[in-house]
Amino acid sequence: MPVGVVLTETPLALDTDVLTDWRYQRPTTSKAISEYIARAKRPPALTAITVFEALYGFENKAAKAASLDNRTIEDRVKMEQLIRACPVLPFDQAAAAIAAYIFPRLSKSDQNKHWRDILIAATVLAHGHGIATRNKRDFELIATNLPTNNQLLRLCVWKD
Amino acid sequence: MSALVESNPTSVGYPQMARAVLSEPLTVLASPELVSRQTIERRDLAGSLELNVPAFGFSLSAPIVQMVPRIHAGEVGLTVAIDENVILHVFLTGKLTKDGLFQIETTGLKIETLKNRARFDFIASTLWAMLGISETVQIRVSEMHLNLNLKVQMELSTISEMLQRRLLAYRIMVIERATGKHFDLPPFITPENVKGVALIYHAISSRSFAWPIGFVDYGFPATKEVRDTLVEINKLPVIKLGPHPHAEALFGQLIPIGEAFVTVKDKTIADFDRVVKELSANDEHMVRVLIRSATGQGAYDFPNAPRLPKSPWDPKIQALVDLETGLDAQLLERYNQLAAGTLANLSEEERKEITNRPELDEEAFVFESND
Repeated sequence: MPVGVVLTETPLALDTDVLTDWRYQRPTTSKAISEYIARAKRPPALTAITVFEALYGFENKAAKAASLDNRTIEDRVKMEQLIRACPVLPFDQAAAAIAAYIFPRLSKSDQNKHWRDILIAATVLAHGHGIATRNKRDFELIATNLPTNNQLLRLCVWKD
Repeated sequence: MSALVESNPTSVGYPQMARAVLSEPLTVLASPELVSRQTIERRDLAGSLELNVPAFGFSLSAPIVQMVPRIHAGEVGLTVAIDENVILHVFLTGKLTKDGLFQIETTGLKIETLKNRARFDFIASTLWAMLGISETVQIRVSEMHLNLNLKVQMELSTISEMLQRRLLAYRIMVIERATGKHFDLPPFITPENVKGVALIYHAISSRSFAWPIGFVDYGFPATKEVRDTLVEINKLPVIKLGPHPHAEALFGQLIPIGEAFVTVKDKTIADFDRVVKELSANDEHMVRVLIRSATGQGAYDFPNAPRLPKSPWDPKIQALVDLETGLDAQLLERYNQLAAGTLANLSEEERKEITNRPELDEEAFVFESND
């Protein structure tokens, strides 16, 4: 199944790599988010998996260093504020069913490489969203293994 | 040909909107201000409240229609008519000083819409969004010698929600103005209605626009001409169907939006051999043809959709419509500040560490059987 196209009214969620680009204020992502906010009056959604990945970065550092310094804590607080200010799509029963379908249909190596993307793709599909990513190929691979009765995985690439 | 049955993907992904949120009160911080008790308790006080939002160069003057001085309870309430059916309630709480002055400690704001119409939702949501995003707002009542500088603290997600409501209300106003219909809005606007509003709005404002198309269920009469045409069309990546009269159901009313052409891009005709065989019967019976878009994209063209008049809005609404660019820019700036702030204090090396994605080892998904 090919990937779908993102259109004017398509609600979007950010892949973790695009969220990172936004945090870095990279021009292509900043421009795309500016256009999205102008038309939707809200930022693109985050998936629960993206939230996990974003907070993991801080927790990973905290676990290694036993605690975070004040500078990092300040940035973590901003991260929590950003998460609270964005719509967050939960990894719910519908998402779990989609992920369960995709996962065993990929090779072990692809499962290992793409487990985060599978969970993100399943979440956006369950909530009728498209995904903004840097890695078109990864999601195209996932899109070829969707449940047949499912809607298309709509994809747009935001990459500098 | 039979009527077009076009099926878009579902409305999953469109938000449901609870209109009651517009009327929730907000407590704001005010500069300490003293007002004379005598002024507050004047029975004949008639005047207007001036609302200034410096960040937007916006000011509004509206008559005070009621004042409830409950000074001993530490409360003074002002009711201001912003529009025919939009009321601003200002609640001043504080205490009486020994000098007989009322010292204001906090100020509460509430915007109430008295009728469930898009115009009033638009005014309320625009004001809320502007107040929330501006942070500083001035309220002045000359007759009371009252001059408040308010600091409005609203969650960014709430400001965004107000702007989404504003967009929806604006689109409904456009539909009402162009079609002459009027809608009584329900307390909850369903995702189906949000989607329907978007479609009709784009038909009126853009006429031709891209739209997600899942599939089109079409009825062709079984004739040799139709068969030959369809065989030719099947060689192309795009099919344009129509025109067909199109009407959308919205808030219990059917809204005709003129004739529609539907273009299906990256099309595939389901069970094509069976379709060709059936059309070859050449007996004019209706043959059901399912046309899918492989990439879920299509387009609508409504050449005769209703139009907006040249100057559709009165000055008050036009002034609020004109705030859009500024509101968008401020919202974006706030989100960008927050996103950039998540890495603001870190070195380049620390940033890399913080944004590393979790990895599993190579054997993570190799499951050994216990058999």
